[in-house]
Amino acid sequence: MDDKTVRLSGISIKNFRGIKEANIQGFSDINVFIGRNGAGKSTLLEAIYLASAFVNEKDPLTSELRINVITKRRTDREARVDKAILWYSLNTQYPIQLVLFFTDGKKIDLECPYQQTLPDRIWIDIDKIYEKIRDIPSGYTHFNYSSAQLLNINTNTYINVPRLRNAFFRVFKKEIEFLNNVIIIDEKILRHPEVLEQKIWLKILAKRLDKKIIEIMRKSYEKDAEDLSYVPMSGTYCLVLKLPHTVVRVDDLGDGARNAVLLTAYLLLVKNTIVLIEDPEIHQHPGGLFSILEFISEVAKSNDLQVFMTTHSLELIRLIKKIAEEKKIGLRIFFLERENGIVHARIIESVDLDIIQDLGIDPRFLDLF
Amino acid sequence: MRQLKPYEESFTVMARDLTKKFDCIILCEGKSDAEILKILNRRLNLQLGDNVAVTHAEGIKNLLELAKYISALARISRRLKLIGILIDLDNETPSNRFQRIKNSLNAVELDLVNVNILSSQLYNGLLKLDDRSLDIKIALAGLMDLPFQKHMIEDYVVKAAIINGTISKSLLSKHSDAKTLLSAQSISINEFLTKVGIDVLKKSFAHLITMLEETKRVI
Repeated sequence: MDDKTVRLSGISIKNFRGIKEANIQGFSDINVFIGRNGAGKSTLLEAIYLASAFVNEKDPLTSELRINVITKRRTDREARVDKAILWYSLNTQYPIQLVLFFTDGKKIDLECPYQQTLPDRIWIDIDKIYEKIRDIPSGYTHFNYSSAQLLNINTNTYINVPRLRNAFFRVFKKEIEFLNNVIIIDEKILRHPEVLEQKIWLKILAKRLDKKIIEIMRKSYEKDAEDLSYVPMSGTYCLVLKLPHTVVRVDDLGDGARNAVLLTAYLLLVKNTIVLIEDPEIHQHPGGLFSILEFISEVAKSNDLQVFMTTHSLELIRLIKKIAEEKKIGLRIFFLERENGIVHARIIESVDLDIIQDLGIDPRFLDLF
Repeated sequence: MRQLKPYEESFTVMARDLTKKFDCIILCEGKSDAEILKILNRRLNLQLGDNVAVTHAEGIKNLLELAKYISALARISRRLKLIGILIDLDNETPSNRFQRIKNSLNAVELDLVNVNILSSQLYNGLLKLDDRSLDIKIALAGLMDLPFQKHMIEDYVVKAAIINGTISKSLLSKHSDAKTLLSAQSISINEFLTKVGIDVLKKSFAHLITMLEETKRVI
C-alpha cells in the first residue's frame, strides 16, 4: 500500500440485522472472519457494503441500488421485501449506525434512518462533519454524498447541493475513492453469469483480462481450456469456455469452475477498493481453492484491494495463511461470536494460529474457550 | 475432563455440542502427561468435568516455547478462568524452575503477579492481561527424593511401582531417569496406572492430585 491509498482499519455497527452492536478494529490487507453460524460474519460484510452506499448508491457490477442488493441478498423470493428487515429486531425507531475508521486516522459516521416516504439512502449526520465542512444550509440534518442531497429528517424534505459534495470530496478524497467501487461476491452473484456477460465482459475483453481467467482455469479446473468467448446460443448470447473439441457455457461448467471464472473476472476489474467475498470455499476442491486464494492475494496486491472474506473452512484458513506469508501480504483472522446481539471479535495472529492448532484447538471453535 | 488431542476425536465432540464451554485448560509437556492426568481423574473420581480441557505440547523444547503457548492461550481466550501448566522439573530445583518459567513469561510480555506457593512444587498466580486477569497454576512434576539426574512425571509412576512391589528400590541408581527405568522394566505406564490400587495412586501422585483438586476449586 502506498501513500496514495487508504484502508479500512475498523468498523462500528449498531442496529443492523442481527447486530445490536459491534466494534471491530485492526483490519489488514486480507481479513478472514470465522465463527459459528449466526455469529455475524456475513452481516459484517453487508455492513461494509451498505456503508459504501453513502459514496456510491449503485453496485458497480450490477448497477442495482446497494440497499436493494442487501435487502434481497439472502432470499430468492420475488415478492417485495420491506427494508425493515435490515433493522435489528425490526426496530426501525432507531437508525442503523455505521462508523468507518480509516488508516489515515479519519472516520466517517453514517446512519440510515427508517423513512417510508424517502429514497433509501445512507446519510451522514451534519453535526459529525460540521467542523470539517462549512457553509452548510441551516435547517438540514443529514447529507448523502452519492446523491449530493441534504435531508431535513424532521420535515422529511431534501435539497440537492452539488457544491457540498465537492467540499466533502476535498476533505475525504481518499476515502471516497476507496469506497466508490466496493463489491460483494456471494453465491447469488456467482449463480448468474449474465451479470458478467451483459455488464462486465466488454471491459474484461478491452483490457484482455480474459487471458488471466484462462490461466486460472488451466491451473485447477480445465487444463485444456483455450479461450472464453461470447457466442449466440438459444436465441441469446452466452459466455462459453472453449475446449479443444467443444465449447461449454459458463453456466454449465462445474460449480467450482463457474465460480472461479466469475470471481476472477470481478476481481480483475476493480482497483483501490474493498472486495467482500462470502465463503469462497464453496464448491471448491482444495486445489481449486488454493488457485483462487493465490489469485485473490496477487490481485489484492496488484490492484490495491482490501479483501474481507467469511469462511467455515479450516483448509481456507491454512492456505491463506501460507499464501499471505509467501506473498508478504498482511493477513488477519477474526473469530466472531454474537451474544444478545453484541458481536465480540478476537484477533488470531498467524503465530497464535499455529500454536492453538498444535494444542488441538480448532480455531473455528474458539467460542468454547 | 476433555482431551483436545487427538484432534479427530475432540473435533466431533465439539461439533456436536454448541453449549459446552471450557473454564480451564491444562497444558502438559507431552502426551503421556495428559494421559496420566486423565487416568488419575477417572480412577480417583476427582470429577473434573467437561469444562476442563487437557492438551499437550508434544514435548516442549524450552521454556520460551512454553511461554509462547501460554501467551497464545491467554490472548485468544475469552472464557478461560484458569490455565494449568504441568511441566517436568528436569534437572532443576523447584524454585529455579519456577523462576525461569516466570522469566520466560516476562520475555513474551506476560506479567505473573500475586504468586502463592501452594506446596514446594505447586505455584499459583495471576496473569495480567490488557482487559482482565487469568488464574494460572504451575505444577512442577518430579520427585526430588528419587536419585535421578532428571525429574519428570514418570517419577510418580516409579514411586507407585515401588510401593506396589512391582520394582525394587535397588534399580533406582541404575538409571538416569524414571522413563528409562520404566522402559527397561517393560512397564506400560497407562496399563500400570489403570490397574494399581487407589491407595497407591493417592500416595504416589499426591502432588498432582492437589493440583487437580485446586483446579476444580477455582472453576
